[in-house]
Amino acid sequence: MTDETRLLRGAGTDVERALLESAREDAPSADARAKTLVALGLAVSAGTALAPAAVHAATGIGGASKAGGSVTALLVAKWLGTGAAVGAVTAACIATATTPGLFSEKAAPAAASAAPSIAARPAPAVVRERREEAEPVAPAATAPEAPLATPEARATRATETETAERAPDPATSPGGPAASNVVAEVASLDRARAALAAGDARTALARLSEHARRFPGGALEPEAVVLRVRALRETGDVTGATALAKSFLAAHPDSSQAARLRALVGLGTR
Amino acid sequence: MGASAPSVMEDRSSGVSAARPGADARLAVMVDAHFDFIWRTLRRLGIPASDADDGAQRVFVVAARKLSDIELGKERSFLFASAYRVAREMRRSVARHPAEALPEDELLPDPAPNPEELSDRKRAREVLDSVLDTLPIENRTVFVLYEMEELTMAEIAALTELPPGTVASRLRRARELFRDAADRIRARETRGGGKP
Repeated sequence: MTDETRLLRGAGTDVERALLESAREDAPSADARAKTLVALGLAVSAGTALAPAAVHAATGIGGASKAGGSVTALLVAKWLGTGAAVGAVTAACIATATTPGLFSEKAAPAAASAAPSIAARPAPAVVRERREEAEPVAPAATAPEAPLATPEARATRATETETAERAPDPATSPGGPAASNVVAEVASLDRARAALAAGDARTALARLSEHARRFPGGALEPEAVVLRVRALRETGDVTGATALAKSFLAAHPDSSQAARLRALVGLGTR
Repeated sequence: MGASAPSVMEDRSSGVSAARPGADARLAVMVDAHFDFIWRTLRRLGIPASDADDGAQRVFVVAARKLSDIELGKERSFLFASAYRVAREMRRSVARHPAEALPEDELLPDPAPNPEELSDRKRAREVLDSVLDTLPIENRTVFVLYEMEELTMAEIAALTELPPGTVASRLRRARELFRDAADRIRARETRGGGKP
């Protein structure tokens, strides 16, 4: 089976390419994934990597906290925990998109019949069932300061699921100035990342500059540096990218993003 | 990635006696690795952005319930199949409310935007969606996976469980339909420019 040249890769007309390229910036919002994790009764533990601002948000999970707080914590966890461990979310997605092993055998029928499936059920009902499957843990037993990853916290989060679905924009949720600041940081970086993912490195750089002005010394500075290095490389400024990476690594040799930065500019591992 | 990532997750929750640490970690990895893909799949199969978050959540809720049935390494196939079904269900549900109906059943009118409008990404995406709406969903699915997600034909065949020949013919037909729509847009440009 020979693959034909894709429309985006030269086989298409300018109109066809313009249409197809328009979809590149179409990506889920920063908190869509976090809301799904909440709905699943899952949270990503960022462990010791949590910044003080994130801990501030996380401690709002238990007791009378609002779902907005947990979404906030999850957002932060995405960047500081999962994001660092698995790589940039988009990058991970692209990487797995080309993993042949994922496609090697039969799976659930994609071209399936129109028979109604479990998928047709409203999500909240399904989530509620899942909650009933969970270990019975009295909400009162949950310590307000429970870390994100404990079973107790998970059970509490499950009980919060229904409200979480209606959670307001975390950027405007109560959770303290530090928490909302980190949420704003995440959103700001996501905008730069979206531009980069769409192949618009110059816009990404402009957004990163704006990000740096808004959040000097922000909690996500390492991630911002990684994005800037990638964007610089995209524009062809390899020298600038390498210089920035080296300067950051010199100041923060043990940064969570150090390995990625070294890989990006070909410095190898220590 | 299924092989290495779960251990990362487990490392980070070590010391915690979670009831189902393996299952939760696996699910979390699936969300992390495939959420964007599933969300985009729903969008390109005709789910409006306002509903795509909910649709993606449904897909992963289904995965959570069926987790033990999902073979290792088949996570994305499973999620994709779920997304396909969820997209169909959501489209049907919307179609039951004519005021907000997707143009699935009506033949979509020529979107005919001014080509200059395509420089506006958001407008271009609306046009793209309406062009894709003119494709039968079987062709649309293959087209999206090949032209937009840039999977190989072999990957698509495996993901959709379709014979390679069917994938190829569906893609060919989808391209013809897509080209027709794009040509209409270009023809409008030609007319607008006063060219023959």
